Amino acid sequence: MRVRMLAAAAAVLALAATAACGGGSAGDDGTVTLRLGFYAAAGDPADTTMRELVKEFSAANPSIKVQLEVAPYVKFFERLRTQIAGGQAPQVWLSDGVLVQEFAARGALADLTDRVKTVNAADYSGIELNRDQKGRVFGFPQGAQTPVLFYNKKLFAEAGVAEPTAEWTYDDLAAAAKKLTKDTNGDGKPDTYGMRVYSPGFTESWWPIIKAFGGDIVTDGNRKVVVDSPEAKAALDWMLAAMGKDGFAPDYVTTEALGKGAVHALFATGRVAMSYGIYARTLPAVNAKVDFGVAPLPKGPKGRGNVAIVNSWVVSKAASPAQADAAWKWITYFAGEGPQSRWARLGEAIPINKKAAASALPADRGKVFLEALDAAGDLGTNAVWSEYTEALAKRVNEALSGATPVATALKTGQQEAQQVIDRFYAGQTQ
Amino acid sequence: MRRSISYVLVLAGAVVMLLPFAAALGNSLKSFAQYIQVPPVWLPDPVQWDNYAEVWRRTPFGLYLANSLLIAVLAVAGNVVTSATVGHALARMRLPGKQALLTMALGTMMLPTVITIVPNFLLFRSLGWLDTLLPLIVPYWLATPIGIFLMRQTFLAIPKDFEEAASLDGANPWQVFWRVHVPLAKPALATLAVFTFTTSWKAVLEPVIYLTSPENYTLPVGVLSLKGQFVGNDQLVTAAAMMSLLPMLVVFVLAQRYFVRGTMSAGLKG
Repeated sequence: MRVRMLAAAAAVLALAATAACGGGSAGDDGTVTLRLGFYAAAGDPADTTMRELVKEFSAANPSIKVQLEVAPYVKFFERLRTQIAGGQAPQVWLSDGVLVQEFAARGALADLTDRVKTVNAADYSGIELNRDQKGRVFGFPQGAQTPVLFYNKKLFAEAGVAEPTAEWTYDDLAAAAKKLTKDTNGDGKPDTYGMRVYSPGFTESWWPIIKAFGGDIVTDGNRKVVVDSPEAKAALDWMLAAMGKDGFAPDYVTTEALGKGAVHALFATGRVAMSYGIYARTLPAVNAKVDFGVAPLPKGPKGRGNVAIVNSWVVSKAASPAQADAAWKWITYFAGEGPQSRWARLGEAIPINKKAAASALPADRGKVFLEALDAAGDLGTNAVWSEYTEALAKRVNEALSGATPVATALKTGQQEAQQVIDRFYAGQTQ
Repeated sequence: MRRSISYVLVLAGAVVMLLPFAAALGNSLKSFAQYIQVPPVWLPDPVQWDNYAEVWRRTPFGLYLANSLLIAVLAVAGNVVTSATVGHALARMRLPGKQALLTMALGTMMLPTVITIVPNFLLFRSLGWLDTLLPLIVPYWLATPIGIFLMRQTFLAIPKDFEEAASLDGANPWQVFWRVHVPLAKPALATLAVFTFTTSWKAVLEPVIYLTSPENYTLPVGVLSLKGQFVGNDQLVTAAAMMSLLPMLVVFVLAQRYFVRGTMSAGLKG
């Protein structure tokens, strides 16, 4: 009896051990195994489309055997960092654009500069946003995100306010937002706000606003934090007024409580008439059947403050030459007009293939996003982007919540973010 | 009167504890538009039973369930056997340096998982266990610190008279352990079994790190795989989470009697 139980346990363990073991890198018959990582929710259209594209790529390239490694966004990068530390990263993966330099600086990525020279750069958007201080390129664009001004056409019509134009300034925006703010049930609190200004995701909040007001966040190859400036203070003061004395934006606590992703529910549910949003924010608005339009970011004293994130394919430095070639083949396949047009139909990202972008984006929104992308700078990316922006955002948020005076928050935020950058780059030659 | 107040307090406590569960249940039956409504609504209208079906359509939920069950059952079996034997040895046998061994074992409890995840990843990689279920099972077969501690305390609490009487009847140390001590430690073993089951069942970090093939995913990883970066599938994630709770509830209900007795006796050792 005991022997039988031991045998059964051994059998179950063997079964667990043999469940789906990974394959090698190259076979004797010339086939190359390519582990391809990307982030998507199971069963989502993005997941399904990516699998279809991989299938088509494999059919066209029978010598390349693609093994997919998919996980939702946060978990994907959690696993990836451990895989990199353990020398087990996929040979090619989709990286959030802001993380490319983090992986590159830690020696995880192959330098794609020479490969990028073999394509016609004019056909694609975003390549330059991936170039580092030394002119090297470690990622090839997959899809782009840039914030523009979303507005609810129905709420504008009901309030009798003219829709935003490319000539709008921050004063125009504030004036319209005040007219759009309504307290319909008379409880003393607005039910509809004119504008959402704060978001835990700063790409659609204080970052472009500070730049539009003439301030900057980082300079000198994104290694010097310069946020402690009168212009940045003016930008944050404008935001505080919007949430406070002017009262046309939901306050910090209400917005923060919704979290990074759910904050866009405010626009999708008609609680705010305007909001800054990247291209992917069209999805919740479309799903919620909001009649909306998009306009360029308003002009500040020093421009619009356009920024962009270019999510990119990267190749592992540990990939064999054959795997790196196969990875590049996949990357150029995905950048083609056909796959890019298919990807564009998901509504998740701006295609980086300019032909696909011109034909596949919705006519009424495409132009605004593409012009914003053309004008955009990068989002201060460097090897410690996650860490220094977290340090900085913590202090900026303290200012926007009213807990700390703006001047103090900017000064402290600058010092702490700079310390993070200096700590990493001290003694580094690159 | 005092009893009524007690009942009211207990009832109020129960309501407070159940409120998040009720909210989650309600959320699992909402449409996405209702899910993101500000201010939130409590009751789903209309009730979206299809969220549960959609989870099964989008993911091989049954496979995730089977993987989680296989891991949890083997983890429970392994941990109960090894922790009981180690705990018994530390409580009842004369071993040189056993106090130091116990201190070391307990010391490992102080290390957060994130600290050990990379060394463990390298270890499992060298063993060829990545993307298999073994890293989620085998560590439980090497006794866990909490299991060792719980069982040691339990065996320490059993009076020596039982052991001496059995020895006089000719029982060897193994027979004393198996026929005398283990039956007396059933509540603690049940407690350890429930703890191990729940720990294994709800583990997220390790499965996410070690498993890359969807056919090996456990239930929590499968639930999280529904979460989109831009598109909110939160109502589906909540529906999947509600379904993944059921096996844990069944285990707890079945082991409840022993579990309560086990936790009580652990606290009342004389």
